[in-house]
Amino acid sequence: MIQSSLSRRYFLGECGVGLGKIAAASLLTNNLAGRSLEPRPAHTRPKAKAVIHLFMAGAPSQLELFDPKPHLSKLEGSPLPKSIIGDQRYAFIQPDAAVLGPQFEFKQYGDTRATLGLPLAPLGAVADDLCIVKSCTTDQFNHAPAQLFLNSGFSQPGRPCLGSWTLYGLGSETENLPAFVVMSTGGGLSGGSALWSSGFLPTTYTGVQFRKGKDPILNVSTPEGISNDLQKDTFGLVNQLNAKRHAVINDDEIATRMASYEMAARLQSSAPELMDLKGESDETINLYGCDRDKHSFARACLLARRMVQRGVRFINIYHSGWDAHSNVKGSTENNCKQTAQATAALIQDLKRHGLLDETLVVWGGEFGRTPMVETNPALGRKAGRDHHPQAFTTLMAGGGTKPGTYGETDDFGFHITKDKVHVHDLQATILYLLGFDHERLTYHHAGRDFRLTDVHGQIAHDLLA
Amino acid sequence: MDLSSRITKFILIASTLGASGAASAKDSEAISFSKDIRPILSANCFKCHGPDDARDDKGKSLRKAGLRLDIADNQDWKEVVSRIISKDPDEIMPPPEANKNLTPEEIKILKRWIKEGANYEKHWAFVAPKKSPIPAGKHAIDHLHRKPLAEKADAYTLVRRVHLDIIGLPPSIEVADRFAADPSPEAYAAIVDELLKSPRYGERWARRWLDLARYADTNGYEKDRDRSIWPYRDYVIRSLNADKPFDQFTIEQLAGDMLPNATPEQIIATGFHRNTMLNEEGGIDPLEFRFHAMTDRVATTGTTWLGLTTGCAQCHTHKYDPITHHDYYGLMAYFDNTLEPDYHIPNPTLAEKQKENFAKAEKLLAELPNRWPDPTGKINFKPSTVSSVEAKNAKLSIDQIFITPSGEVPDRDTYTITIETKQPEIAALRLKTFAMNGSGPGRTEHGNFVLSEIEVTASPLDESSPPTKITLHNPSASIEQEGFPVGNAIDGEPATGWAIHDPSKGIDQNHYADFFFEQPVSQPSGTRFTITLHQDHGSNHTIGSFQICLGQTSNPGGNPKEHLNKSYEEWLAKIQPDLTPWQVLTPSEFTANTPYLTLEDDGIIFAAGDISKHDIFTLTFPAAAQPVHSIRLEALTDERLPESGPGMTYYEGRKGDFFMSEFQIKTDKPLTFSGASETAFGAQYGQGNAAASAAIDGDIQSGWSLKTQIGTNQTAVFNLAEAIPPGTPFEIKMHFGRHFASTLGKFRISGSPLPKIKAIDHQGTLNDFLLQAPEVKKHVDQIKALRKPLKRDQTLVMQERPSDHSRQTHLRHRGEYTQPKDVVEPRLPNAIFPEGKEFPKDRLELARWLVSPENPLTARVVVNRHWAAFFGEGIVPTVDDFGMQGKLPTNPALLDHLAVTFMERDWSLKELHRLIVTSAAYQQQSIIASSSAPRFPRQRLEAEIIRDSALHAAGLLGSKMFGRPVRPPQPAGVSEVAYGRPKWNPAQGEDRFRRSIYTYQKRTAPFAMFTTFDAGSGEACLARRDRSNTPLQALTLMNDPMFIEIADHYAKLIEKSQGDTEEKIILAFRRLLTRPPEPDEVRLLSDFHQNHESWKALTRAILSLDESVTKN
Repeated sequence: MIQSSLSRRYFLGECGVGLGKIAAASLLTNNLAGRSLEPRPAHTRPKAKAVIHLFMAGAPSQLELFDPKPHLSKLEGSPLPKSIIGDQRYAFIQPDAAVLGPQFEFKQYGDTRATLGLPLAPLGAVADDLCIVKSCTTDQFNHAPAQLFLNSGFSQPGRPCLGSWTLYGLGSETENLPAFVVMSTGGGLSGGSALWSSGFLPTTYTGVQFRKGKDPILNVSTPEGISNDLQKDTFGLVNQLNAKRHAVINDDEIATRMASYEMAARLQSSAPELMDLKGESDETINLYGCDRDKHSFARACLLARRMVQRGVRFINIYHSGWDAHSNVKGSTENNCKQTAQATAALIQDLKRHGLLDETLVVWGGEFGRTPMVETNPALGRKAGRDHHPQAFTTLMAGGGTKPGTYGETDDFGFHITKDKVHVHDLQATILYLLGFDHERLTYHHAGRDFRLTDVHGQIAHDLLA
Repeated sequence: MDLSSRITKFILIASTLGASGAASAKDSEAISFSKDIRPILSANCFKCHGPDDARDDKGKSLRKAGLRLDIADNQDWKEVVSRIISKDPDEIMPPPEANKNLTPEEIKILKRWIKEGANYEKHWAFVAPKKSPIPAGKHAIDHLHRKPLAEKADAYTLVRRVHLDIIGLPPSIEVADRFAADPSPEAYAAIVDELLKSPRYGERWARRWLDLARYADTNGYEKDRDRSIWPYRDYVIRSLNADKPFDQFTIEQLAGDMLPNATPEQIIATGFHRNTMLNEEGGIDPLEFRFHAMTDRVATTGTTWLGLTTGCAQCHTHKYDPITHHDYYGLMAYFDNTLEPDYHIPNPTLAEKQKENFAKAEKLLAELPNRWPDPTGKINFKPSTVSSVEAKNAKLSIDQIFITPSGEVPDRDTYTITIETKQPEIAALRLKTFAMNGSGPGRTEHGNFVLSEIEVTASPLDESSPPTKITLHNPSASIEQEGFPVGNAIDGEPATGWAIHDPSKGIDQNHYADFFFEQPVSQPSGTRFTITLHQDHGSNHTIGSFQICLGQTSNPGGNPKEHLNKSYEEWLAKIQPDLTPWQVLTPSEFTANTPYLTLEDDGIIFAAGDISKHDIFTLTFPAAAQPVHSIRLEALTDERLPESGPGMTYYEGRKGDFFMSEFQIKTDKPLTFSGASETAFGAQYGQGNAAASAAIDGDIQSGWSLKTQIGTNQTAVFNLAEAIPPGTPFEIKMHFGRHFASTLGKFRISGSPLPKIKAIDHQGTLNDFLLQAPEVKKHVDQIKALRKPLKRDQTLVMQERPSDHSRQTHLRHRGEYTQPKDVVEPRLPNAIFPEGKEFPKDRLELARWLVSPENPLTARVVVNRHWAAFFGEGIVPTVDDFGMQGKLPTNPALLDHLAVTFMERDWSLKELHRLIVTSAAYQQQSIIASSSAPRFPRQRLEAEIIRDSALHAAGLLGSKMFGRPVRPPQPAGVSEVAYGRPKWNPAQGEDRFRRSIYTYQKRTAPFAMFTTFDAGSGEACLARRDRSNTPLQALTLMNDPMFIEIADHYAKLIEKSQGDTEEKIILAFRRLLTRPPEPDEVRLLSDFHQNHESWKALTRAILSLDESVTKN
């Protein structure tokens, strides 16, 4: 592998143009934007230095996992009162569909009496770290728009996502890894790559996908048939020729490109090092319940902890497969089996590494699920739940959040009755934890200042520690 | 680049191009409102004191301040200034919470302006551009440039620059050397001429236009399925190559369909605004996403032609620019009145071929009665009882019918089968073979076999005569492998045989071969047949599972004609009850909730316009003279419908299908049905058939749909339990849709007085009989194939709705689809459209106005964007914003001159490009002599140019133009994150390395290399791309398998070239970088080559150089 010290030494000494410092400092700068990835201060003292967003794509059922509604069992088979439903449009069901009662028992855990459905029992172990927000609400009732909305504050592609805003505001603290990483397990995603797009922000702030397989970052491995020596010499030759050009043209952009090659060389060794779990103890591997080499949600969680340790700022782990239009019971069990233990492990592991205080873990989907049942023989569906934008639950842990349960819904789990947290409020709160005033984190584009929360957003102060 | 060097760079460009920044008024000059004042007011005050006068539901103004500073008003300027300079937090403007602090310099300028009379000026961009006088013999750009220029670039730099700019590819070494030998202006002009004529020109410039058009080959959002709109992309390339005047180019794209006698080309052009995304997610409200597409159309039109950001006005009046909330929907109204059909592109060659096919089909149909088989030849095959089987090597297990060998597989084998039968008139035998365990009937690993020869002898059971050999003829088989026809099995040649492998079908299928006897065999005592199957091909090509059937002639001695007539009559008698004469019923009233219905000839009703997830057609029928006991619904095809219909489904489900969830009929009371039938139906996803009976079961979730029979007429018949008596009017309601919109597009209703009629799709003619008769199936299949419509290429287009069904555009409160308010007529913002004049009234008039001299914006916006393409930065640096918040032009006289010249020269982009590249400003060198010295700004190349240049240098780039998008190689897994984890199968052959403009563009998983180098995703209009500089780019150039493959070809080309190592190194360098390398560069490359002895390693390094991805 390339020793970065070699190329660094070359920059600082041999190449003779004295640009190492300039270039390294301005690495990844975008020449249009006026901001770079240099670390920079936030608006206020940040509580969280990093965010791990476990995005439960497809939308888990809050009625099975967080928000027990025994009343629904009593109503089972009959429709909800019209006054409750209002003029809500649905994706698949008719508004007068019958009610479906909770499919699982609930138990309370820890001193905070955190209420969790049976499939999430493993989370009971970290109950006293959980900030359970039962009163989340969104504007969108279809997957792609709702996933985009939660990430970018807008239902159409084209705006920067939370991770991009974070980088734009704070810069990067890692020189060896991308500062905004995206991993994905389960099926393909509704929102696609727009979910981690930098939108109108410079492309530098786009999330970098870590993929399964041997090449976590696209093209990070030296191609087959090319020896380490050759790779090293090629980097060397390219930099020497670029340096010569720089001496003639005198454009700092060339120095920046040379620095980008230096970082590419470093990535070639730091990415495999990051992905190599040999150094993790069996105890840790068992805690997460993952395999050292096999791609899974649990392994992604462990990688996320390692990334945080290495200064990665924002990590998205998408787990799709929650879209339980049929058999909400089986689907919930199955998805919890893949995610619950690992989520608990991540929180425990961050905590014992002393990282939880400054790492915000977010767990949740893009909307909730209907109290009404989805049954449709024509589509082969029964005992499922449709999309429900009015109320859903998001979990948070660490990063300056206050453990406890927040918000309430009505007896049907349909509407929020107390402490509503709109998606824009959630975004404002996360930005606040990162040290931003969401009204001041703006970017001038297309004739006006844009922000993640548009013209909305209230910080949910009650859930801050 | 860090901030300080960026600022330096900006100043450099600004000074090069003659900037006059804001807040920099010289004491000696009078204050200009546009230049000095508006930027201050816009940045600090307009948010509250600007045009936005939104009112809440009660009519109360939402603007925080009553006073307007964006227009000349009767302001108390003393008061304004006193507020600005106040120190009192309750007094000071802007208020502290606005986080806006005016600098002392700005305050000074404001004061001076007021002292000088506080004159307002119209915003510069809203005043028509004016030409400047240019002295004879002077180049307009250089004359207006008015700043010192750097030295001219050296010949190699210049010739590479102008090639990359005009055609997006580096020059050939020959052209470069020729120019270096004679770098005269004439030689340069000749090169420019050649480049402007090159077909590569259109391919290069189309890319920039397609960024604005947000072109992609998929629909976007969750499912992101493929769409066919590449003919629009080809239209853009063709138009640019033809130097179609930009005004015409504009009109065709925005309203080509409305031009008189619109040509196919003009219709294809309207794909511009069909590049909006389509959400196919199950369960969406399609009209909501249509609204999102409409807001995209308004925004894209604003950016592309007007350079205005209209987006703000979707929700409320623009805070800075004079575009009201009302104006926004006025602009939308121009585009709202459209249908969005698929256009089948006329294709004369195909039409001719189709005509020929139809004629052939007619001829075959006319000959069909003559094809009726001789009844003596009709064979009934029946399984036969096997009395013994012998085989050389295989251990055979026998039962009555099957013979299944087991054990070791022999290399070759011969089976001898004995069958004894008392049946007379044995005339043929059928060898049936059966697929085994997911493999084929053969015993090879791949399941094939070869039957070398088949021999048959017959002898009487009473042994009254010796066995005689039966002569076999007319063999036929259910499948024949290429080179292994069934005839080989009776040709007496053991080296040939019959085999069954056809790569287009799986091997795991049953197959048979028939062999006919020259003479039927009848023995009074019964016959013993001995059948020998020789399988001499070798390599285990023996049969594993088979059966022998003997065929008997029936109806011996008949006459084909008689037999045909008899068969036809028998058939006719059977279907007679269903051949009822149907009476077409024409409704007196017909309405639908979402689409609009039109009554066409013969009682046919056509549906058009929007559709929803639950559409209801209500048809009222006047009293009939006859009773109505059965109702027939014909679902009819039409080219105006998706995939020719009969349905209108255009997302989520099968295009062109429909889903009729309920079919209801009532007089003064609801009527009940006794049954329903249909000519075709689809399968429901879960259970049950999507048959007509599912449309009368009272369950809104089940219904009738087609699925595989899209593009054909189909019929359903509904039988009423009791007839509607004569003289009784009645009403039919049809419900359509499921979790996606799926309405029927064209249909007709008929009635019959007879009960219990079944749906049939013919009239019972002789031809109808023949077309379904198994006896002539082989010929009928041929006729059906010939009758199949030949598929023309399709593309997405716009079509204006008829005036009697025009769509009304509503203002949407807070920009929300769910909050429609007042109807808004088409209109333009008064800031750009003279007050008192009549607004353009439709899309076509709007398009014409956009490119009329009365519009101050379009020509400026276009020339500015093109200037930016060459110089990296526009004369107005905010290429997408010419409004109050945009930057001022750094050289207004130059911008205006270019804009007017552009219009005068017939809106010719090629002339504009020629003008730019022949200027001295363009030909400056790019070396940075000092931080303040003028120079040409170097720029990193666009993603596509980087790839195309690499392909070009490697000798891989083909010249094939146009057509369906292609998939070049890219790392596996790029597409895996998208919905459904689509596979990326890279093209082989010439499609593998075509120009990047033809690369398949998937919105949710764009081509990775393009994304890495800042290309867009086609999800929104993109007026400028970033030019980032990241480690991921380094990794792509160094490690991406595509670049490795390119480097490999590149290396082979270099290796094959003439010359010694050094000459080869120089050639490799110059194929991409044009200029000859410096001696020390050659030395570095030579050393490297000596160390690694690999040309591929060398070309790979060259592909990774900064200079390779940069325009110098």
